[in-house]
Amino acid sequence: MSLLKDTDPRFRFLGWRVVFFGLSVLLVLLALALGVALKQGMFVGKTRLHFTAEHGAGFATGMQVRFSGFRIGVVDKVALNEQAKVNVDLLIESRYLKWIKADTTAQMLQEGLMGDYYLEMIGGSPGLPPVKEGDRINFAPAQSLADIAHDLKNRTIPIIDSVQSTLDYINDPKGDVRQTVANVHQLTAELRETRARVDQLLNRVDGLADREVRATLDNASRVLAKTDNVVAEVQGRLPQMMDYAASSMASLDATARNASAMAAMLRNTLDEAAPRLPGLVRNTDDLVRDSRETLHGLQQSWPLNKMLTPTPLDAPVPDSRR
Amino acid sequence: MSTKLLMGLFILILTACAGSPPARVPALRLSTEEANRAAVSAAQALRWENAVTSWREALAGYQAMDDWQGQGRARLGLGQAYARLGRDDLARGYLEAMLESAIFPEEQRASAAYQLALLDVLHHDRALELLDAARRFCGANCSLVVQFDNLAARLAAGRGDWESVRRLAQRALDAAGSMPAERSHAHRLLGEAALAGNSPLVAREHLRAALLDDRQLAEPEWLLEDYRLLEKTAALLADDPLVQEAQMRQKSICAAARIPGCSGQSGGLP
Repeated sequence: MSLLKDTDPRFRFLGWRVVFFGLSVLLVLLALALGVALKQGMFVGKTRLHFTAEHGAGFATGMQVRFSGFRIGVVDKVALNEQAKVNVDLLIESRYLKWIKADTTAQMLQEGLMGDYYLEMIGGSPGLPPVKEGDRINFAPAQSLADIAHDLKNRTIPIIDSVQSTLDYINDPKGDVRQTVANVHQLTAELRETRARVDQLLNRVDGLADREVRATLDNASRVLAKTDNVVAEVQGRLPQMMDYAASSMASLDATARNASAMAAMLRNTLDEAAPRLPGLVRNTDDLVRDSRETLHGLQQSWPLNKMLTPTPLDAPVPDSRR
Repeated sequence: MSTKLLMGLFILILTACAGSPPARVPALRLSTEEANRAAVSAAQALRWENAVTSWREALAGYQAMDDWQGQGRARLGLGQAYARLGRDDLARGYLEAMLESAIFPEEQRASAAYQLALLDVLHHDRALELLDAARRFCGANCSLVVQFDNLAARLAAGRGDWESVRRLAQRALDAAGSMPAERSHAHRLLGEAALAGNSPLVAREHLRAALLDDRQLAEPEWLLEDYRLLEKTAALLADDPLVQEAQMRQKSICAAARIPGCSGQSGGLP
């Protein structure tokens, strides 16, 4: 016996209505899935490219590939090869392939300080043809501040050592430079002495009688002979001194060149790093502020707000014993 | 049973998460109070330079917001931090401005006068004058009365008025409750007064009580003072082992802590 009768007109064709509703929902879901797939580029033609990296840090399947900031593909496969290097396969949407040339470089970059890694396609000569399926492109790993500092250190330390050794050489009391200067001092003193003696002699010549002139002239001749000897000695030693001086000047010149090269390198390095520094500082500042806000929010959330004592705003009262 | 438990947990979690987000605080107030809290945290960790930096930032923020109570807070903190850094002149500058202006809350002015009295503790009359001002500002329901009594007792000890020291320090001790620093100070003052009154046994008990608190407070300077007094007391009692123990403890403290009272005692134990 039927307890309920379907006399209510709202129950007519109930079965058909349920089927219709179910089909409608199914259709909407299918349309949604199709839309998502289209949005994700599943029905877009793709071209496979690859490169080899020294190290696999940061790579992951599904990692974005960008060109001028736009997503143009993904990393499809990351695998270690027989040479212990990392083969990376990319799937690039074919419509964007016209901008990827044989000299295009894939550079690994990071979003912010702690963001995801992605590959940015950089360069590409306009005159070159686009790459084709299976072509190899260049790869440049991300250079962190630590890398820059390490590179700078490796390039600077030999120069500093060279400057140090040159200065040591110049300052060495037994070295060529100091010896040369000492010799010059000595010779200058001898020349002055000789000049004094010649002056003295000439003064005496004026006051001497004729009978003494010859003897005086003999003396003068001897003095001049000695002067000749001194001059000859100077002439003999001068080339050596000049060689030493030239050698010292060459060392100084090399030192100056090294210092100049170092300054230029530092300037280049700074030029490379400088554009990134404000961003890094700003990101760090934002990161610290965000972290502080997050921590503050966490401290105010249950159950941490029950476990932690909030820091008061009032300064502690100083003890009377201070 | 387990389903009911899970449901209960689910409802509990939902209740916990159901709180409405806090009201949005203006950026300047947020950063200012953040700096103020950072300063208090630094002061609690005895990082006084950091505390000065943060309180100065907070003071500028409160000034920009025309928040005089906040300014008072920051000034009191700066006064205390500079005093701990040995820059008494700067500390006075921040605190004296509070005495002169009635725009600061009375309790903060009382605190400022008290801190100035601490700075002038060696100038007896000036310190007493400031302490009177602090009591006047603080009024009847003053939360700083224990500190005031102890400081008054300290000043009385400076002029050798041991009867006042006993009265004030006992009053502070009775009211100290959960303030171990003030309790130990009161015990120490009572011990000193007992020693001056030739009651070494009483002094020894007060000093032992003070030492109990000072060990918990981990204040080397106070511990050194306590042990010096204990050494004197033990000498009066002819208690040689206690004298030696007090000396040994002083040497041990001086070997580890760089405090002014240790000059001439460095070296100490290995």
